[in-house]
Amino acid sequence: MSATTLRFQSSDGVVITIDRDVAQRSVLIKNLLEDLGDTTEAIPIPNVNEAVLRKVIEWCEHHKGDPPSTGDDDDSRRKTTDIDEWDQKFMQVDQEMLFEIILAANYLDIKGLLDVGCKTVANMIKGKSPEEIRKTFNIQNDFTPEEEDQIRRENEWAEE
Amino acid sequence: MSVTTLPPELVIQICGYLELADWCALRLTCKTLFLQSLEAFAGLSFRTIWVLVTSESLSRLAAVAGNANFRTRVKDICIVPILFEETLEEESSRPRNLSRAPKSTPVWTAIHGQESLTGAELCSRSTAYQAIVADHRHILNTGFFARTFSESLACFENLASVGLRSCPTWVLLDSTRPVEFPCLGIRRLRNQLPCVMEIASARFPGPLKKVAGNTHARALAAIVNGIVIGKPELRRFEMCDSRHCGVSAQDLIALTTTKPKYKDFLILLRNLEALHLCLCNADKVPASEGNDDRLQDALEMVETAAPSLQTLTFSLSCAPFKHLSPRTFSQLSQRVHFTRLVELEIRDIDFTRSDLQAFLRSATTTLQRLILFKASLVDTITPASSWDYRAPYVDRRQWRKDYKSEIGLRWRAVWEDLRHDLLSLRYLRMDTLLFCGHMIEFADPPRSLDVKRQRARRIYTVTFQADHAHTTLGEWISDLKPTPSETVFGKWFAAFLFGPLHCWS
Repeated sequence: MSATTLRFQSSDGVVITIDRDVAQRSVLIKNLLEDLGDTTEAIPIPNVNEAVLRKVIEWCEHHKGDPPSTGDDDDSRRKTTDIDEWDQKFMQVDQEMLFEIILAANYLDIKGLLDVGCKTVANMIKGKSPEEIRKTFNIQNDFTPEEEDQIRRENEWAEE
Repeated sequence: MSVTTLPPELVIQICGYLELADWCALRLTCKTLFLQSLEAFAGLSFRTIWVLVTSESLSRLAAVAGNANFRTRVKDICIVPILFEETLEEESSRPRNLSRAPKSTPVWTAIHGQESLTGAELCSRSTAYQAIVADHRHILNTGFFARTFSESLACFENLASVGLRSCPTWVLLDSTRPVEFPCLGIRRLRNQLPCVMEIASARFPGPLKKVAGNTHARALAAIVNGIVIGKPELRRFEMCDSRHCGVSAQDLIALTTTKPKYKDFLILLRNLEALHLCLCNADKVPASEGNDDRLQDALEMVETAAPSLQTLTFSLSCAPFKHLSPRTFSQLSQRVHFTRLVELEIRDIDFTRSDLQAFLRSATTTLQRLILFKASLVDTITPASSWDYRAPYVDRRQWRKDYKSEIGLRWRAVWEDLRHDLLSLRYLRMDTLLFCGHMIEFADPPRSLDVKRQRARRIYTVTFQADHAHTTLGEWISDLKPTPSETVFGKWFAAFLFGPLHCWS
């Protein structure tokens, strides 16, 4: 019989024990367990530090009853950026943490969390001018005026 | 950690949740985000582009063609050759003065504007309309469009699909209607003559088909030039769209007279997967041996592309009940050879049973969908006795009854061929079938209708869908009850009245 808990070691060396079904929200972990079989060793998660890993686990615990992602993303543009209330609160973190969560969700292959992260960033961009976006994300404008003009022209072609 | 340090695939995923305007703003923030999303932006925004026949649209097209980032992304180009469709017949004259124009049609209402306008506003709209029409006609009639468009087309090295589209002008002018793909020049058009129409359907006026063919032909000539210069590996080529406005046969024949260029064009159709070829006003081509040959040259497109085609829509005349001689289809049917045809739509074509069978012979194992629209069977019926309009009424009535019964049998024989030959057929739609000018009615299949309603209802369209049917194609065909109508259309009208009633011989 499989163990009901698993141990994971974050990139900063902290070992965290979590329920197996929570951990299996991650496709990476799920596949790893299928290959490894039962293990009592702590599984290293080299790209994710403790703070981020705990946030990811929190999300996985809350969503452990969700139906598994079908993974059938189509090519059409997904315009809806609706995020449920719990996820919105969950994503109220500083930008550093937000992007770390997105990277961790991408690495661990947790589609639901990755979608919520990307939607959160998209919502921070929506309706803003380039200058407002720069301010929001502390981006330095490194275009020359000529380059900006060229991109504006290209945008006009696309926006026809 | 910041948005600029995310890997490109995550930046693109974020952009996938943005409206185009927001993505455009993001591209302007810094070089990193611009470059990371460039490929996806170009692929999404410039995969399909629509081109209007206006100076502005052509200049935008030239700019896209000159942009190394975007031109390689362009896969589909659609030209909308017609503007202000209801004014086409006035092409040679000066554009109409709006203050005297009626507001009876959508396009004129669009030009006028729906609000009550002051004299000055109407004058301003009138000037804008005349400027647009003058520009449109100038670039179409002087060869400027053909030259500029073909030069640009030649730059799109990954072009896979090119075709003509029709879109009602009031739809183009209405800025509340989102455009699915970049339609180059539409913003300027909408600024010049803004309008909001509260009309649900995007219907085209019926008479347009009579006059659109010539304009379509000029756009087609530009496309052919561009294709010959650029030599793209075309997968899809469409002379029109679901409105089947087509290209004037006479103009298409003219195109084939530039032999070397036309032959080069044909070579580039050898990997075509979808072809939509509609000839309009084909009946107006003067009958002569030379024209027959040239028309066959034009239809060589079908013959050349046939081995690779998966979808073919084919019409030899848009003028209802004025089809070409069945010889045209007969000659083609002997030469055409499909190897992977899955969908076929045949419209406005006269054929004999044996010619249709010959046309389909190489698609028997692959064809899954077949649509026959205004297809006319023209087999010869030789009556037991000759028609005598002086015979007693009872005899004449019996003669007609026998003749109509024979028509039903002829069409039934065609359907039996389809059932027997087309082993993969999953969908069959027959709409407005004819036999030598007689429209074929079908008895109403649902038995639940009351007799009165059943009598009142005439059915000209029947559809078999294997996925939803409770019967086999064979059973469905057995249930069809074709009844030739009393009404006779086209050139057979006189023959029906005065006999003899045998068809093409």
